[in-house]
Amino acid sequence: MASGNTNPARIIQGQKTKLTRAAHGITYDKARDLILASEPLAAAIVTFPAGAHGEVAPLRVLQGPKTQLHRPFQLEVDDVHKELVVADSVSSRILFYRWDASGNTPPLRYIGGPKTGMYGGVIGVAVDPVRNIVVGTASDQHHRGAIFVFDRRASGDVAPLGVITGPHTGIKSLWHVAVYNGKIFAVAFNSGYFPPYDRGGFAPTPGCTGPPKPWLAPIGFIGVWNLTDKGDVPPRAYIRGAASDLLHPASIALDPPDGELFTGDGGRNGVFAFQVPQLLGVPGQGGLGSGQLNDTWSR
Amino acid sequence: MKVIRPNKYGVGIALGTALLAVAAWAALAANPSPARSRAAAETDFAKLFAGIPGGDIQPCRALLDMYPEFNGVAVDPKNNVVLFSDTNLKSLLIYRRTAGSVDSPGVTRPLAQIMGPATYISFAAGVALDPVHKQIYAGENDIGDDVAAFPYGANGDYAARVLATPHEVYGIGISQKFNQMALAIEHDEELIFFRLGAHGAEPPLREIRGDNTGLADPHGVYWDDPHDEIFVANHGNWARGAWDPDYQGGGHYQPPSITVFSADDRGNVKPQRTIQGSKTRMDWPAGVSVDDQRNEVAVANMASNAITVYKRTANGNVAPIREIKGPHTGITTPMGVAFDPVNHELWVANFGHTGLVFDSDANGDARPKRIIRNAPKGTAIAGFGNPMAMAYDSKRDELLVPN
Repeated sequence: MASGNTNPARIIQGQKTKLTRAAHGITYDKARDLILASEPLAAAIVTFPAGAHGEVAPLRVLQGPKTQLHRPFQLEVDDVHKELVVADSVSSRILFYRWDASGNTPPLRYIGGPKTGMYGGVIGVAVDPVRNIVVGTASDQHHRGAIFVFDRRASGDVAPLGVITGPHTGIKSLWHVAVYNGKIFAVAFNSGYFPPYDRGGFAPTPGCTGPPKPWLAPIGFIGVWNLTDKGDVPPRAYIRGAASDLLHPASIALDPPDGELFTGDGGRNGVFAFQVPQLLGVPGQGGLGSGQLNDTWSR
Repeated sequence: MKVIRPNKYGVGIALGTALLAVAAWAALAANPSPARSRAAAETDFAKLFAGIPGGDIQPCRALLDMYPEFNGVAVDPKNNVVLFSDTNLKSLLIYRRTAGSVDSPGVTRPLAQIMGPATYISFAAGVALDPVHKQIYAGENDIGDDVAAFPYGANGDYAARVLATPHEVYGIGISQKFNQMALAIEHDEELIFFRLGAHGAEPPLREIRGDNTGLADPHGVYWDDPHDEIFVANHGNWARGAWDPDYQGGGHYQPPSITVFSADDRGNVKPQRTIQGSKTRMDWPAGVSVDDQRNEVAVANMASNAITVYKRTANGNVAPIREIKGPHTGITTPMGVAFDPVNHELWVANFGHTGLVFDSDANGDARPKRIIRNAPKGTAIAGFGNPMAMAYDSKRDELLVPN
């Protein structure tokens, strides 16, 4: 991977691509060598060949009233069950489609409703197709960031298998998430953001005295939990602090064979790579800096 | 940072002039307020995470641009200053209007750089200058939901006069005649209006929104006071469901456009004119500006690396009367554009390290008259705009980062 300040290797952009700003979800479908990206400003999912370059039209566009897409964010392809899983930040649902869904196509099922406990919009989603688990990041009813764990096969308004939330988690707000080898890698954005305007931008919310202060929130972190963790529990490992250079991390990607974890930071406007093979179950060195990682997972 | 050429007398004169300009800018503002501290809001993570593996681990690699990246641009020929927003370092940069050189590869010295916690600048896109009241306006497109205002002369971590807004402000247009500002709100598909000088949670005065307006992911805004019109650049993405959970109609794409409203319009009104169609050659139109003396409207097309210029009264599927594009122009991912009708110049903000100045009637593969650099010539441009999503392509060993 490149380092320092470097030009990108490729750029996909332009009117024909149907990409929009604020695209808060992208995934690589390894089995079919495709890129899928969520377009919240158009309520769409677009698919490209992974080697695409320049102003190219997408292979597929998933869009329309039947899709139930409102403001899609993180998404992932489940290679085992051939499904596309999408977090929707306005409907507070996790939506499941055929992996090659296109046009005005309804979802196969969704997880959403009061019993799920997911409020304030689902931002992140990740799937463990072997353990049949799907993980979503959202806010709970107390406006706290929370990690919700569901049976992947669940449908409708169902209770989660577990929820990780509370003051001991260190989580204020969450963004994206990844799962690997029985672990949840959640990105605690922790920006302290709270919209001053009501949904739709009609008027300030009652009691609002001004905009959020973007610089006073605690620094974010990447936290690692087991899929079986529940309640107000701290992470089993984390990356945070001045040496990490992280301010408000948001996105995450894993490269297990190389023992690497990548994160994009909205506060720093940069991308960072960490060598953490112990977290990914890969033999090798890791734990640079003042922090030391070990394999102690028991409590 | 040096804009000075290596000449014995030139160095002295140029340095002295630069210092005087900086001092003159600073004299316009009162002393800035103390910066707010993150430490005051930081919880005791050390105790919370004591004994947990991991912690303060250094990254093995980091992709970062250490220089500003320009986005919006505004010019004030009355007071001879130009303003750029910087989404990378989260700052505003102010230069003398005559700054820059086509020959110098070095960084152009700004009069001021407004940056820091007290400024509320977190991802400023559109900017505007008020030459009468000598005020700077910057709209926050992400992270923050506000318009931050500063007096001329502000520098460093200057405490903003800040106004709460809906999420995702892009363009700002101001009117002396109405004493108002118009903000384009991308995902609400609206123009929202506030009093100039509004702050805190002061409510809006009116809005233009609805299916008849043609607003679709609105970006740049220009308020043409002499003709009582407001111009808006639209990318064409539409999704009411992005803010309305009860809306079941799905989203759609429409062609990019410039929609023109009467300055006193409100509600679900049709635009007075719409420039839209394949002949227009628009491609992700971001910035828009009007020259009310030449009666022309210029559009910054970020995806086609071009500035397209139309008659101010153009309507429908019309071709541009001029298009500034080509390798000699230096135009690359232009996000902002601003006419200076007094000095007959056209400013372009590239998303990256250069601001360009052309003659107002420039056409084709024209060379710029001046170049403002915020980084040494040839500096790479990582081009991140809030990397809030990412994927890893294991086949190509590449990271995919949408912006």
